[in-house]
Amino acid sequence: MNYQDFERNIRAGLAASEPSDRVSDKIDQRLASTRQRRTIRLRLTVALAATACLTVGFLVTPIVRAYAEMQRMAGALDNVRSVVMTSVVVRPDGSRQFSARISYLDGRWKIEEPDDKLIYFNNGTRYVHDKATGRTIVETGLKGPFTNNDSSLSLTSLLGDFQRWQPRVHQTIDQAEFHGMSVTRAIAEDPTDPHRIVIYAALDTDLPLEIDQETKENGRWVVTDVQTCDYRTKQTVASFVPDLQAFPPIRKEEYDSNRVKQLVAEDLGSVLLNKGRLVVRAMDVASDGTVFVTCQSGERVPMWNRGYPVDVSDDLGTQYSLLYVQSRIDPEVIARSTDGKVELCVFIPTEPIQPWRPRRITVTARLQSDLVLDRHQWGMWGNRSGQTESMIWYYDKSREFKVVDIARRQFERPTVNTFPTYASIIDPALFDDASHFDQEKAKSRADFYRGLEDTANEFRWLNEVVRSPKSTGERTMAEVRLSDIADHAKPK
Amino acid sequence: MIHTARAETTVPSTMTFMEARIAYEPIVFAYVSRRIRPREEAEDIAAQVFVDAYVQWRRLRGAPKYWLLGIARRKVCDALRKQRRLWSLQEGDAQACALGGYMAAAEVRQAVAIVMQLPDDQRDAFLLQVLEDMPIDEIAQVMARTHASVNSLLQRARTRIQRTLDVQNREGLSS
Repeated sequence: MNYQDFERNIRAGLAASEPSDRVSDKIDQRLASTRQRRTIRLRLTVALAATACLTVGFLVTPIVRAYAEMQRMAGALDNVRSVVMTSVVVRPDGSRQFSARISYLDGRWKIEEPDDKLIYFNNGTRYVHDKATGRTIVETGLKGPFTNNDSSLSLTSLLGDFQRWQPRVHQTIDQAEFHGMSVTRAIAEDPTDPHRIVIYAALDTDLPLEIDQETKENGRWVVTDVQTCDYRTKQTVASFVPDLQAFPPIRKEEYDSNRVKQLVAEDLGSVLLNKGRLVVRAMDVASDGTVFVTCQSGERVPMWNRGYPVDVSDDLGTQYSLLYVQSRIDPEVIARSTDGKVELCVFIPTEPIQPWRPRRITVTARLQSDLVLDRHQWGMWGNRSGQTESMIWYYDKSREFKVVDIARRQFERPTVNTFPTYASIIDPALFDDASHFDQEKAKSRADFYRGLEDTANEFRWLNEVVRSPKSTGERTMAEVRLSDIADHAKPK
Repeated sequence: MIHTARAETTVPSTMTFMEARIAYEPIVFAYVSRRIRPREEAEDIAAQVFVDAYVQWRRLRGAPKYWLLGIARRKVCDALRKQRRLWSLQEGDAQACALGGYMAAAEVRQAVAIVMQLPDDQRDAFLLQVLEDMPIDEIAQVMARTHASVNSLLQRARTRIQRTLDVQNREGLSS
């Protein structure tokens, strides 16, 4: 056979199948399934986004998909010198619970949260009073307290932002009565999403007076979050100055560096790899049985998370689901340690283990025959039913491997309540507060059951996310009703 | 001429998902069905390519055709690895070959076996050129590589194929 014959034979041997409608049918079927799941996902994301909103500030939108996007929302306050924005969540019985207060005065910011967290921002510098260490963590060179964009607080600007961030958003603008006066009312909603925002703005100044977030529950719109904007409260510069006497300052880099140094000084067990070693630096267990393992695998390339390097098991026979964590990757941290980047792995019992029972936890790793670490991979693709949006964890089964024990520890009692303090250094966005973390755990459990195609349990945990106090103001929703979502998604 | 396949991929596309689906569904299915048997599995994988594309459409940069084929390429690779089996001929192909004579069928099988022995990247580049008739620039976009890198892959693939053919031809003559 010569080369020309070879190519001809390849074309003959690997001819394409005749196209048919079956491919189109399969795509349609899977897209329908994906869209339905996506709608639920969107709702959950909205819940998380709302949480971020309360922290971030005055812009609440149900259509923002991620914390990072939320961060971009905090804007400049053109033509407004002073404003106090107060956020409350609305309970099912109509009562209101304080969520956050954001004050602004001539470029200075102060953010107060319910757990006494206090953040100041002035002239590119952010000051966070850290109760745990009694220090003020100082971060410089920032564009804003959250981040910056060029938007202003005017209604036109806000609606312009919504349109820019999410082209599908529908806006309705009319006049309405608001506390006895005539105002402009703007409703921004995404037709596929059972959440919307309603902005009441003054007719003359175009400035928002109140921004409500509403959720469609059992077929009707219910206010779940309210943010009021007060432009008349007198404020003084003195109240925007952090108390550096009581809370001595420490630069954020130094604070993080100290904490990372403490972390990588521990050695709870290790195993040699073909390059470097895998060493466990910390093991913690929370009161609900969530296990935190921090380790280093010698990997020095500051790339995105490549999957979990370890597994855990315990003597209670617990089944764990994995939570995706963005591990610490910045070169400075990597350079400080000879064992590579610091990776945090979070293992969540598929059902919470309560009340607490003592347990013995073993950390293991899979090594290939050439001592290459066989990582637990993740992917966004799904199973044959077209479920594509879950975080699927898997091992490449084509490789040969052996399992080695690296560390073992007996836990008579939980070592942390919700998550260890170092977790927020490794991933500040995920470990910002307990209720956000609870939501993430519920999402991971839902993903786990989705992987098993156990829809009942998957939805049970999806509901848990929506019921979270932070996202709904402790509103106990009957359940996530698919019919609500489906009805709302119908073309109008 | 300077080839900048990677740079081109940063240009956002103005095509909607539905437009891309209508335009490229046959191409994607053809690509997958040449490499995956049986047909039902090729259909599943082609469908999954479009579902993934739908989910990640906002991330699309560059020409949708190459982006879709890039997704298809990765899915085919994953499927082949998971199946741990070589590509096989379609039943219809095998029958046609049988009608054409035993020797012709054997040569087809031999050719497919040689291609399967190539490293993944060389094999993909080679088949994109031979089966999909793609020029090097387009292959570079599908494989997210540079023009030079694809050129090198193709050269190495051809050299390796030619070497294998030479050995087999010599053995055939001597036997």
